[in-house]
Amino acid sequence: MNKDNVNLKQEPSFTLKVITKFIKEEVSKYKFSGGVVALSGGLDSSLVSLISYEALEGKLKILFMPYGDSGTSLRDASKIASILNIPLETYNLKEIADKIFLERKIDTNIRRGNILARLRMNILFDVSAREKALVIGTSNKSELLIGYSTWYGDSAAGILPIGDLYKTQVRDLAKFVGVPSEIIEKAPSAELWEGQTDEGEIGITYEELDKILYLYVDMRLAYEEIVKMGFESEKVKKVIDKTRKALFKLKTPIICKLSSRTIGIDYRYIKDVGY
Amino acid sequence: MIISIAQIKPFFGNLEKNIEKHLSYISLAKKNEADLIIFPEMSLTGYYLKDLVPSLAIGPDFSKINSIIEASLDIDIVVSFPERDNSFNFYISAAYLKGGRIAHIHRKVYPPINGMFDDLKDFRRGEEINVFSSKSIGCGMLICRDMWHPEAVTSLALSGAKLIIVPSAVPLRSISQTGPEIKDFIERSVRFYAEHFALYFVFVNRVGFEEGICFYGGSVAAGPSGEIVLSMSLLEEEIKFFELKEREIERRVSILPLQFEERKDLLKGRFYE
Repeated sequence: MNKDNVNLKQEPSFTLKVITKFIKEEVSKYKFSGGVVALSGGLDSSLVSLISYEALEGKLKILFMPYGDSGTSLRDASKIASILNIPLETYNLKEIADKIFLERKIDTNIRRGNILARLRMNILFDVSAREKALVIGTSNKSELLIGYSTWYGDSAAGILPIGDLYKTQVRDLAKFVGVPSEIIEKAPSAELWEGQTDEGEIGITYEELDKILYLYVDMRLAYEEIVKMGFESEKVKKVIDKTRKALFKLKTPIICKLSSRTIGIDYRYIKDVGY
Repeated sequence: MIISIAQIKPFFGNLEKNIEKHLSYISLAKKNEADLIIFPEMSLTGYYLKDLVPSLAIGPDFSKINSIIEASLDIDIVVSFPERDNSFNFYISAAYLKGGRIAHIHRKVYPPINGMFDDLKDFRRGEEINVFSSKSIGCGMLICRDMWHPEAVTSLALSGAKLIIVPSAVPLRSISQTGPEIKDFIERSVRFYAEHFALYFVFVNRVGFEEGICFYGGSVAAGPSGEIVLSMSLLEEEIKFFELKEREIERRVSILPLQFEERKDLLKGRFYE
């Protein structure tokens, strides 16, 4: 196997069926009346909105939270709303975010991006409480594994239906489900600041990132073995390094063990208990 | 012999609701004149019990499931649950109920502990694999991971089993361009075992999710020529039936009498005492 024939393709109708059933089962298991998705107009949230709508037989709220003039995002989010024929609840973060930026002297892109992500999380969970709707997150496996998300921001959710799909797999599934092509084709961006793109910021294309992650995580290949397949050693090293540094975001906060049964360590229950 | 497979989604951690569900499928099977109904692994409780095991375990007194045991007066039943013995050990077990009593219990002999599996943290290993009589043919049970070990299947087959029942809780893992890879692996194994040992091999999987883990269904049974005699849907709860034809076993054995050639003596002292 070399870098060109690493194959992440899935049978899309089966994947779609599993995810649809998952959303339906989780929402009913926890006795929510429906779901709510923060829709940015990007690929992940568009796909999750379409699948959730089907899974929940229309019992879905979509929430659009731009910062100022959002360019193509409004157009694309509106397009999803019109496909689903449900209202797009909009809350512009500009005013409140600018106030915080100014008063708290927040002047770097990364800090501003984090503030925006956590403001969105706040509003999203409030809609969840108002509507008794489960927060359906839109994180994918690529960004989760390398920690390309804001802790307790965009990664905060009740369930992550596409959390085990790499970005390129999300793209394939989106094509199958019928996400409009302009949404599929635009450069992925967390929209933390103007002109930002994921691939520019991470420094690698999703095509390559996903293959390296797949080989390292799913196929359990070692660094040397992946490099031998034709990937640049610097890139492989960087990706593996990112996965290690991201682990803290993927777990419950570390608890200092003092008792005989400690949360996260030996207090062992799955979340389904009690439902 | 009509065999029904109840590919169910158990309620997690709720024995009462699961007993109700079992009884309703049992009555449906009876209406369809089935002789045997088989439920999947941990059908009475759900699978990822972890710290719930002690409070949900059944045995050594089985009165908690009396209503199901009694239902076996009219139809044979295979159910599965966490079992506690009288020394307070826990096992993943499957019981063959017949004539209003427990005819046989199999304790999972290969409870896995790897990746998403934690069985060995909570359960001990079963120590035996035995053949017993079901209706008029020799029968053996394995649970889930047990069937991935050819020596477990071989042991039952060489001891005379002509019906092997495998209640399972197999989760979905990778999906390829042709669908769930695990399904192909299971089907290959089921057909291989059935054909080589000239027996009916019945894999009974569950459906539903437990904390994101999807049990994919796809229960499948193969007959003595390796033919698929029943294939169930992916992901859906359902009950289906097939007929076990003893004549087909007899015919297959006369065409290819492998079982008369078996050389257990060759194994002696090599792998086993």
